Amino acid sequence: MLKNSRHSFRVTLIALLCAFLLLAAFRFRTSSERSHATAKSSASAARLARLPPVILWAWERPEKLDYLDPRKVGVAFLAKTIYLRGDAAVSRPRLQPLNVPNGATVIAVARIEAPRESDRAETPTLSQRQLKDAVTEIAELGSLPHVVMVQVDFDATTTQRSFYRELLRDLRASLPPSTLLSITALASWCKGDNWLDDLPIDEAVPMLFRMGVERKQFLSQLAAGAPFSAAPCQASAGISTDEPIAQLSPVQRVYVFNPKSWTPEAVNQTLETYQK
Amino acid sequence: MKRNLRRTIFAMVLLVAIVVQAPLALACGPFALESIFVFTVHPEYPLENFARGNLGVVLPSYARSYLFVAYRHLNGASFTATEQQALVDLWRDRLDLRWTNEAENAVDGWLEARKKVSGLPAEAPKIDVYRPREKPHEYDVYLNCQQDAFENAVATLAARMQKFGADSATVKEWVDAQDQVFANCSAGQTIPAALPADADALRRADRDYQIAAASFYSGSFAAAIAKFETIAADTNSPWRTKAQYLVARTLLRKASLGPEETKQEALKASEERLTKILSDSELKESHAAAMRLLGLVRLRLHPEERLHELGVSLARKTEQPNLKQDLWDYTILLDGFIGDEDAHHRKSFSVPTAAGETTDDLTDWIATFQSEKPEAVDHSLTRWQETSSVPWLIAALAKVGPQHAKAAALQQAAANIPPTSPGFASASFYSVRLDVAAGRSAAARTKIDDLLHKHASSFNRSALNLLQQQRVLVSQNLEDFLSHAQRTPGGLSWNDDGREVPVDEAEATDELKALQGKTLFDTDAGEILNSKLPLAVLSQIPESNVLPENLRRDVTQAVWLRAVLLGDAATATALAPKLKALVPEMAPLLDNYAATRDPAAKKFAALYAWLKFPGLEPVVDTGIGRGQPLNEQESYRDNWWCSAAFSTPESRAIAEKEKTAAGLANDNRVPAFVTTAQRAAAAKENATLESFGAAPNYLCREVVEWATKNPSDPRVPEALHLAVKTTRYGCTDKQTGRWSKAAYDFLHRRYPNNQWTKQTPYWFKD
Repeated sequence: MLKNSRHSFRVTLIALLCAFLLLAAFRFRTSSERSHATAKSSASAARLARLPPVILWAWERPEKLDYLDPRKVGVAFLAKTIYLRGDAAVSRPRLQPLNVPNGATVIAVARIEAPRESDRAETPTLSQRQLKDAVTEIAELGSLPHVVMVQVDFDATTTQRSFYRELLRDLRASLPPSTLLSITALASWCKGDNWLDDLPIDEAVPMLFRMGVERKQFLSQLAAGAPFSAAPCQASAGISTDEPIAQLSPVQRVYVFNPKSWTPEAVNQTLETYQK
Repeated sequence: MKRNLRRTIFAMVLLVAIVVQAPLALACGPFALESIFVFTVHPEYPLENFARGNLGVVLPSYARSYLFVAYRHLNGASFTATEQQALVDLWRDRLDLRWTNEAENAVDGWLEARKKVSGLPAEAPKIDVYRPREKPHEYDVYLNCQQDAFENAVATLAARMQKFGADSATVKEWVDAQDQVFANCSAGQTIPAALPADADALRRADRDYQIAAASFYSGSFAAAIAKFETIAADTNSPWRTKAQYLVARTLLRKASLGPEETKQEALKASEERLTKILSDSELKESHAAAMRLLGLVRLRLHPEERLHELGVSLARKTEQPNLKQDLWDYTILLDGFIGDEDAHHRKSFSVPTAAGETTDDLTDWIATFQSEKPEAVDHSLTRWQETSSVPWLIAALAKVGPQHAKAAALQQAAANIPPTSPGFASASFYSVRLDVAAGRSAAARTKIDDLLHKHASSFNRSALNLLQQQRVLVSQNLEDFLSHAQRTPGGLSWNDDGREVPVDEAEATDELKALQGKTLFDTDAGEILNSKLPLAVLSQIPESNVLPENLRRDVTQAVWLRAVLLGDAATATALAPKLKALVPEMAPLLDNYAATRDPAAKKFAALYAWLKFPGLEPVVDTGIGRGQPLNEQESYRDNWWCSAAFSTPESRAIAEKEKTAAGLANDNRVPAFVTTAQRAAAAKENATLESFGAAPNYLCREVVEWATKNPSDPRVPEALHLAVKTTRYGCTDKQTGRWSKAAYDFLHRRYPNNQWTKQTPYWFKD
């Protein structure tokens, strides 16, 4: 009996010790990762904080924006569209002219298009080759003149998330360390969903337009002043000139999409509405 | 023992692993199918019908290429089969964002042809057809090497292989030089060396051409022009004719990519050169290409002139060989002049003309038809009186108000348009719209019914739905209203980009198949049901057999819950059997509701049912609506009635904007049969419903109140659990956290050991 009790005591002790060691190792690892991440994120935050408060998305149409005040307004231009078709990543560059003022903050955007799953013939394989090709294409944007950030615009279904996670990880490794990495995000990714948490990105821009069925819900929450819960989503917001949001919670940066080419009037109106 | 230890350690490791591994929430993107009752950006699919002249009701919100086609048909000028195909091609290119990688395919063709030459390096050169521009245009990329360059190379290679042999040094030398030419496609400047004067004449001619081409692709336009000029003057060169055209093309490229200050000069020189080519019968083989290029040059050099030139030529009743490109150019120019903003923001309803020129009728018509400026009304009337043409009649009909002095004359003219005319549907719709707006309900009803019964084939689905929108407003009674409130959508679309592109058959999912042929409520009908009819009228709908079962079910659940929320237990009790028949899963809950006498207990019985059926809401859905069954939660929080929480100023403004799109708004959107007293009652009831705020708050409040007074009710723990759940999965507002916590606290305090308490580990802040 005594022997059994001692035995049990020893077993429990060893088990507790193992658990303690595991937890200690875990805590050490996370605290070490945290301190590294903190150092990295503070540098990233400082670079992000230097971005202008309003950034205009310049999509695939002629955009003459050389009249902008570069201190107040930046330009995120669609530089490439990458089509994931079958096993290929076909890249199409921007073919429309873009003029930006000297000293402008320039963000290069890569849009990834993948056919809907129902289009089976073109369904992307999401293979390593496709991933590598897409990363190579996007990473090239980091070397364009004056580009401070690369932004990836994509729609990921649940099953595609691991592909995009890996793509962003490889992209981060391929970009110059000083180049920021941003993604556009569905509003639902920023609230009640945590898949953004471990992405190697500097920001995720919640897209507060073309939200479809989610629109009512998110507008209501924004009006109520509720911020997005995902950390990468908290500093910026993406809105569109044709779906204005009057009660936007204060954010560091507002990205503004215009379904038409930008005009000085539209820029002024945007600045009046969103410049803090 | 060892096994026990291993188990213990394994359990601990598992525990740690679980702690470390954050769970992933699973939610797919919010892509939702949308039912499109009336297409506003473009006509209803298939677009071939529109090209053929089945116009339906032409809306001013259509893109201008469609308005051109409408104008031609309305003027009695149809299109040949080839032209119709060209039109459809243009539309599909734009709507499907079609991108042809013809140049890349041509590269593949060239590389394949190149393989036939022996003695070349095993690895073929990498050719990228796009080239970035220099500063200050460093973000611009252009298609430098086009399809024809590679096709020309393939043809030349074949000819030289035939002449000199595939293994000949001459052919290998030519391919080496050609590789250098194509190296310029993406970057740099690689110019093949000139051949000595005593070299074979054809080899030299080919090389000179390659040097000129390499200069062209590397952006050395002056050198390219000089070389092409030399070749053009060389009567022995097989490239002589082509070089003439290439001088003009290089000048155009120089205007596009060269310094701004030389742009006009280069364009003028290109125009002169092309005009000269077209007047030289010896250069006939270049005429077609020169004609196309001249159009492009003139578009840049004289945009106003070119716009009207195209406006005149496109409006001609003769076949247009270059219809797709001309229409493409015309609409691009028109967009530049009129602007592509919303109608009320457009720069002008008139388009500038060059000195001494007058505007062309097509351009004038499109600009006027699309304008919302007051002067456009008079202008359209003036033009109608001057021309008596159908396009101007329709423009004027679409613009005048019912009180306008000319409204009757316009309606009279509209009545004279025969059903066989492409303008019949538009003229009929815009005319009857005036009757409805003027309050001539009986006349409007007769006319619309006549159109729906006798002339339905003249209307496509979108146009029929436009008529139904008007018909609803003049309905005589509830049954009449219901029969026109239900409509078949013109199409189903993901419409996540506003292009209204219908899903194609290849994308026909089970969800899509289930919807086909079903009638649904359009926005206008939904708005009337949800905000213009009082409970006393709504409660009659479940008795009616006019609606199909899917809509009857939706209306019945809405009216039942509305009665509950408005405290009209008698109506709710009377409706319970109807709802039970339509939603049998609710039977026990509805039986309990009907059997309960005490008013407070009755209300709780209803709310308990609502908690268990998150799809119930006191409003009807418009369009496809909520996808999940009533007793299942919806992934996107469309649970326990979303609408009430979102009556924000912005959402109301957006809804209003959507309604006014395409000029479909109507000031008087209440059906004629609804009395003033009924309107007032509906407004009062809606104010009461809105005062409840977000449904989760309301449910938590009501459940906590009931639970406080009836803690021994066995349903209470479950109801509290479900109430907390509504604050996670329902539509919330800034008060929700408070109510979530109240329900959670009550549950945990009063029922600490209950199974529902254990299933409620959190409350939710928002």
